[in-house]
Amino acid sequence: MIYLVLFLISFNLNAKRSLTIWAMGFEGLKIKEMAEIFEKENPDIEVITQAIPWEAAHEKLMTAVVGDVVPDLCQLGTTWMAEFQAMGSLENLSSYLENSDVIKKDMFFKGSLDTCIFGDGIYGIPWYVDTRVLFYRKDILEKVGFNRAPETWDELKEVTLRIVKEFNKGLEKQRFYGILLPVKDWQSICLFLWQSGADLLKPESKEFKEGILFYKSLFDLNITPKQDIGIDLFQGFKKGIIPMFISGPWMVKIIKEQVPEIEGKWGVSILPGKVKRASFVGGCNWVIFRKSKNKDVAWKFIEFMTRKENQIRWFLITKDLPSNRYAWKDRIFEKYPKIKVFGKQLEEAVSPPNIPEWEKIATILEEKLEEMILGVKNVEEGLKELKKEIDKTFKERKKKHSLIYLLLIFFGIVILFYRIFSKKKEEEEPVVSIPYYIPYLFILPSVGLLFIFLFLPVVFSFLMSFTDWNVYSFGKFFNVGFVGLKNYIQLFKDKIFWKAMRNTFIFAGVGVPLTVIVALFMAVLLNEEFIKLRSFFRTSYFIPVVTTLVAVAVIWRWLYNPEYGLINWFLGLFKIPPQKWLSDPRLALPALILMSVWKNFGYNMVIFLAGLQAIPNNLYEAAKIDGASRWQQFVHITLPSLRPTMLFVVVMSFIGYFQFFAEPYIMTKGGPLNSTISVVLYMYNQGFRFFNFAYATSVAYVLFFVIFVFTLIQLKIRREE
Amino acid sequence: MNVYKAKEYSRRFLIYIFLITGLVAVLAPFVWMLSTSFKTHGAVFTMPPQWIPKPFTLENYKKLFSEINFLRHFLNSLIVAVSVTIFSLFINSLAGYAFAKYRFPGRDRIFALLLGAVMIPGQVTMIPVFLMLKKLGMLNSYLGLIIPCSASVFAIFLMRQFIYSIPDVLIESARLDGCSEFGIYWKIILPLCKPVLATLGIFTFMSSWNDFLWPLIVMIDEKMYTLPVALANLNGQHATEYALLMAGSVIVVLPVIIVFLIAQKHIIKGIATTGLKG
Repeated sequence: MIYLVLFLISFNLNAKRSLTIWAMGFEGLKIKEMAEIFEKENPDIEVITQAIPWEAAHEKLMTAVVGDVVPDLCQLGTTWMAEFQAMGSLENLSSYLENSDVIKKDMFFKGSLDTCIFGDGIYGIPWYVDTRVLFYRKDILEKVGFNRAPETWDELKEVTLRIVKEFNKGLEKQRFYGILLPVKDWQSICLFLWQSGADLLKPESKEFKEGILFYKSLFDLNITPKQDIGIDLFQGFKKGIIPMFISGPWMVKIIKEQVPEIEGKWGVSILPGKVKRASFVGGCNWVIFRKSKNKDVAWKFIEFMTRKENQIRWFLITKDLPSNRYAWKDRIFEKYPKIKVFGKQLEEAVSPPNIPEWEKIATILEEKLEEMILGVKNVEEGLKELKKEIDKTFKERKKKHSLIYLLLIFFGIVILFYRIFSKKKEEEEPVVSIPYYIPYLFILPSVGLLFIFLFLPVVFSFLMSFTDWNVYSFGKFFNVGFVGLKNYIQLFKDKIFWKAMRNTFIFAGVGVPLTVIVALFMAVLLNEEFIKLRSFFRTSYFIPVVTTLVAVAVIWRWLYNPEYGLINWFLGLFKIPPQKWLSDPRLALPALILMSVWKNFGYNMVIFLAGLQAIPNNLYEAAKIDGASRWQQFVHITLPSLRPTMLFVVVMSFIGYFQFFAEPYIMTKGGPLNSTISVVLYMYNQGFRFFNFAYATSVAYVLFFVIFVFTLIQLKIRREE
Repeated sequence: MNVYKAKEYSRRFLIYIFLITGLVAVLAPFVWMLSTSFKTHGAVFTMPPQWIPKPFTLENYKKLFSEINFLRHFLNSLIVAVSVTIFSLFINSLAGYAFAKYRFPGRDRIFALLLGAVMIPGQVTMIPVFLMLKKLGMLNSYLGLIIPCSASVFAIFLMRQFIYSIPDVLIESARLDGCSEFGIYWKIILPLCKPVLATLGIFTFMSSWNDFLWPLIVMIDEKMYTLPVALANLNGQHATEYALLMAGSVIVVLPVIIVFLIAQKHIIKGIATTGLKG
């Protein structure tokens, strides 16, 4: 009887349908509140929400799609729509939309719905919208004679110049700025490009250049700081150091919370403009994944979220702007005059190009922009490179389809292997008394795994490096096209790759000798006969070696903290000014090298110690009798005797340092200005962030080749000696 | 003579200074990590640095285990590292035994091929193995971390070298006594291999525990992250909560350091003689 009840209960639990929802950042936390209301309305549905941090969201979604662990329903930024649609991962919602009594197309802002439309299909439903407006300090603008926000570019320049002049009067160093703009943010530069009337995919146009020049001029005239001024936005806004900035709707609420003192002294306005006062329309859409098993429930949730009252409810929880235009007409917005400005701005808002390549182009745009603003490149050069990159990106769309070449290469490899291994004819006589298959059985698990997970992949990835395999042809193997050496050629022209190569060489070239010298030095000291507690010292020095690299990187990021880190404090004892270790392009790589030496020297030290102990003592005694100094003994006895050990240590260290990845991945993400990007990190980014598999394999093979050549050279040097 | 003695003493003194400076440089970050992990969020940002946390709090550790589910990540790491170690010791010693003590057609060729493959860096195989695991349905599972990481050319090589030195007489007499081939391996060879198995085992455990790139790629669901990946993720999400990050680091680092301290004689001897590395 009890079992029957239990069975029924469990059956009932199973009968409850579940809906998994992924949402990012703040929305990810707050969606729980809406999910609870939804669950009350639909008691047969259980909603499971997961919050995903924005920084990792793109990678996370890509891998989820590739790995088939997608949620039913997901929040997707408008700019990511194209990419995920092209991957074929999104469900076409047209038929759902036609049959819905809740959702109609004309409920949404046109620009916002545009981000969901591809061909005839609609692949998402706007959840909330987002646009950018100007935040300004009314009182400060009034002090320089403006009793309203600037409406044109000229006015913007005029008012900011006046502020900078007026407020920095008598100050030794500039403290006050006109407006804060990011050096590296595509959304920010796009505003200005749209305002000048430019097409974002045509960097050769006059309007494009005008937009860039205006943006750059704000930095050049010191209206906008080029570097981090070491103050957070709210304090800056409060103190008038940053009297203006461009931001989104969330900021209205945060300013009220963070700096309530200036309430009434600040306002928001539609952005100033040139041809038009354009802004960005973004926000997020709901998407249902094709692999979802609960599409109808997911659609139900979308309908729930789109309803006018829930749009307002969501607005009240998060201050996210409603995508449903009817919601905007609600009287509640009379209470939010600042938010109403956003409603007005949305009329003139534009969305970025709806193409899968946009994310990549935007990254390039950001990089070029940073270089132009920091003066690394001039504007003409930067725009030309941008144009080239954009053209290249579009060219990649066209594909050739011929797998025959791949087969040819494959057979080539097979024949090569066969020839190499058929030369030797030394058959081993098996032991007669045991079945012939026994040894094969014994090596099978290990060698079989190596065959599957090492040999096959090596051959396979080599073949793939001649194709255009990427995430769009992921599941459709026969769409892969043979492109010959294109990946390699592209790689050799790829400036970031060369930067990564250079960094890796510096890292190895400086790191290896440094590690070896420190290790040898410590080993020689420890080898002195009189040392007490030798094994204590040895064990201690070895601890960093066994420590998880990730933890080491996290700890060192803290040690390198410019304000509160131990290292700057220590330097401060010697009156050395604090350094921005990880955000200064000149210091970031040395900082990583220092950390690696710290982590690795103990390992080499132990090997050297073993080597030192193997040197016969009578050599030193003979030298002492001959009157050799300690230094002479070191140079003429220790070093030559250690040569085999040295070779081993150097080769192994080189191989290790060439593969450096976790340090920059955790501490700098390859920045600032790609100054710490390594070859493996670059491969990881290409392979597992952008899913350009073919390109990434070619990076791996070039690295392999470099390591191979290096090892051969070092072995050869040894042999000649 | 006194001058010589004084010179010698000052030399020794200098050497000790160097050694102790090195010791401080090596250990200070760990002490700093430990100290920060017991600080409140506010006390982290005090200058000059506090070495002894005031007020002392366990809040960061509580948060790690209650909100961020570090226990799960800890178990993930433990399951993976222990399985890899056991599985790897078994299959590699079995293969090592076959390569050392049997004669069979193709033996030397297969062995040479294996040694040649050591040259290939892991990055080359990463993408195809990732795709293969997807086809096998092993992405986002423990198996995806255990199976591809267990077979190791280096381990086979090491086992073969060691087993090579075991006298054939032992095997032959066991065979005459009617012991099966697997029985010989299990009852005679393995017990004799204890020292090399210990060293290899500790190293396999450590390298599996510390591995980062591969679990980062294979584990997609947050629940499945191993400790290093969870820590890196924490670093991304709570970049400024240093006290929390340091507590996370302590949890990641402590088990390996403990394993190391217990087994340090084996490890250092193993490295000094073979140069093997985690």
